[in-house]
Amino acid sequence: MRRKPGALLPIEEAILAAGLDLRRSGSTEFHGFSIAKRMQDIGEAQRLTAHGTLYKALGRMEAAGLLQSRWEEPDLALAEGRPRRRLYRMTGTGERAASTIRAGSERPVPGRRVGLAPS
Amino acid sequence: MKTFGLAETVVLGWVWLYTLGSEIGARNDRRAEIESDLWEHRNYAAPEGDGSSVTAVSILGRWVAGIPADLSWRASQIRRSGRTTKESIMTSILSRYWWQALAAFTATVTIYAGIRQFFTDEVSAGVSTGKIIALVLFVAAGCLTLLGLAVHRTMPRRGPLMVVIGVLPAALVGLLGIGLIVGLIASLAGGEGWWWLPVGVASAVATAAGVGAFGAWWHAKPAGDTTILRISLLPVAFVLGGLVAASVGVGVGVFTIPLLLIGGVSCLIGIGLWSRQTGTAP
Repeated sequence: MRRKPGALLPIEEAILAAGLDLRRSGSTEFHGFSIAKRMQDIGEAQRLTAHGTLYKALGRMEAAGLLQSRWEEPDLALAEGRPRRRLYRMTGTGERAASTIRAGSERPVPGRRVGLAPS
Repeated sequence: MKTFGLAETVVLGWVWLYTLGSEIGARNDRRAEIESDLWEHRNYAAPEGDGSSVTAVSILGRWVAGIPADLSWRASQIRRSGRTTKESIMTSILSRYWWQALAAFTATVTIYAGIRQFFTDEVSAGVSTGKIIALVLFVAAGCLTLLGLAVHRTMPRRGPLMVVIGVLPAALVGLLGIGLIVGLIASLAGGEGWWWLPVGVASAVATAAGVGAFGAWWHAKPAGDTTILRISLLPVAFVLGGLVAASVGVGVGVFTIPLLLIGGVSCLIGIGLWSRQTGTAP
């Protein structure tokens, strides 16, 4: 999908909204499935977002400076007997963009410009 | 394996496929991230009381809905990595394995052809010496090719030599097919007599010489960096290989339809590679 530089796609707005919601509940970092679940819970998505769509959007948002990511320590994953998680956190730019969207009186409009650097 | 385990395997297989050949960091990240997601999904669903089938449907639904984005991701990876990666992919996969795949296929066809001719409708007339010789010759040639492929790493000289000797009968039959087709076309062009015969023989000899020269050039020690030049000839190799396969099918009547299909697909691949290199089809 083509878009104007600095504009957000609906899924990116949904991810930011869910990230903000998670942050308010005390989770500063989230992994892919947790953000998909939260998006579904708060009504930003009807179903769990598809793998390809979700991780492509997360990668795009990281490249645009809205998110940062890191792989968690292997020992922690090993201790819990599960694969390592890639943990995302919102950057300052991401938080401002999320706040801008949230502050709007109407439902976020697809393609709204939020003053981001071109991705 | 439970249903969701099967669904996870399908998804991971797909992820492996569409990330194949992409930049190693991006590839490993994507594979690990999806693997983690699947684990989280399963472990979220179990305490919620979702059955294995429900979870599997959910996983497969997420997979199918994300396929266009996966393909888009792959395309963006190719664009980002540019020509260098494309060259390395083509060099590593095509240059390394194409001849092995071709030799294995040729060996299979050779063995099949040898056995098939032995059990044709002339069995009632008894087993002739010629049939036995053909059976032994073709099966031995096919087995020699397979043996050469099996040992070519440990025996870098003898292995490929076995392959070359093993594929000779098939190559001769393929050349016969080319000669027959060209000769037939020449005879249809008009005229009486056997004048078309040398035309067919000449085309077969020319094809053999061309393929031999190409093979010798391909394996010659490169003077300087000839990678790009070599890659640019891959489309030609695919198209020629496709024509030879189709000719074998038509000329000999063994595996006619599959060989025609393979020949057609090979030609299409050659044209596709050509168009990607030049921006337009030839």
